[in-house]
Amino acid sequence: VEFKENNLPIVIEAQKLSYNDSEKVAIYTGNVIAQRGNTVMKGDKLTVYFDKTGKFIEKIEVTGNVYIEDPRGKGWCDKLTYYPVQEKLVLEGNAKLQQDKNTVLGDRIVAYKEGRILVEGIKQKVKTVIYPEGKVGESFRP
Amino acid sequence: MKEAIYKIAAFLAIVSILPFVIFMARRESPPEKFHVETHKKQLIKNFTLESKGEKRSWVLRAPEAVFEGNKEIILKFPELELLEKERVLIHAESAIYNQETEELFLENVSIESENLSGKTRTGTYSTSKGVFVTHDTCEVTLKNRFTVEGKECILDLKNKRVIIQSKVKSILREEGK
Repeated sequence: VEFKENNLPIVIEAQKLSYNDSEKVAIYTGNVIAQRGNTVMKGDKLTVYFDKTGKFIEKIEVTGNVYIEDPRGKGWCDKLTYYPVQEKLVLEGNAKLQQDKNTVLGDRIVAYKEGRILVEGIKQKVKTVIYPEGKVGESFRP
Repeated sequence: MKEAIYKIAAFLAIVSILPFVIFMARRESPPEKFHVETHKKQLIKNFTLESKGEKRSWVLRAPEAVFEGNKEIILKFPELELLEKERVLIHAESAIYNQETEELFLENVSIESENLSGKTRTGTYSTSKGVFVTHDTCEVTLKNRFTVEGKECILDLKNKRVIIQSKVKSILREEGK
C-alpha cells in the first residue's frame, strides 16, 4: 500500500460530515471515499482523530464494507485503521489482502511502513495462497 | 265609508314614511372598526443592538439600519460579534433581524473565529440557540488546514461543531508535512 507520498493531502468525499472541534474528531458517513495519492479507502463510515492541537492526524478508522486499493494490491476487512505518523495499516475482522492472484487471509493483518506484513489468526487460522509464477519476493509497503 | 277611507290613507302615510325612518336610524350607527396596518419606517445610522441579560453574549452592529414595522430590522453590511468562549465575527452584505424570533437572515456571509473560517451565500443565525444554518453550499476551513465544503451546513458555534448534511468534500493537509 503506497503511503510514501504522505505529504499529499487526504481528500475525503461522503454524504455527511460531523466535526467536533472540542474533541478534534471528524465523522464522515454515507459512501465514504478517501484518497491519498494512489491509495483509495472506501467504507460506510470514516472517522478522523486529530491530535490535541488539531494539526496532525492521529489515526483514521474505516468501518462497514471496507475496501482499500493501491497500484500493488487490494484489501478487505470489517475495520481498517490507518496510522499516518507510523505509516501503518491495520485490517481487522475477515481481513484479506490480495496482490495479483496471491492472497493472504486472517483475523488481523498489520502492514508496516517498510513492507513487512503480520498476519494473525485469532478465530480462524491464517491462510495464504501463493501462485508460483507470482512474484513471491514482492510485498506490500505502506 | 268616509272613516274607512281615512284609516286607509293614514295607514298608507305611515307605511310610506317607515323606510325613511329606518334609513335615517341606520345611518347614525358608527362605522365598523377595522385595522389599517401602518408601517413605521425609521432609518438609524451606526446602529448597535446587544443581547439582553447580565452577560453580554452578542453585539449586532451596522452602519445603517431600517426598522420595518415593529418586528424586523433591515441592516446594511452588518457585523455580528459573538462573545462566547471563543470570539466569532459574522459579516454579511445585508441582513434582516427578526426581533420576535431572534433570528438574523444574512446574505453573502463570512464567518471568522480563531479556529474556523467559513463562507456561504445565505444563511440564518439564531441568537438564542447560537447556531448558524444554511441550505446553500458552504465552505469551512479549520485552523488545522482541514477544508470542507458541502450543502445544508450547520455551524453550532457555541459547541464548536460543524455538520454538513450532503455532498461533502474535504481536504486534509497535515501541518509541516
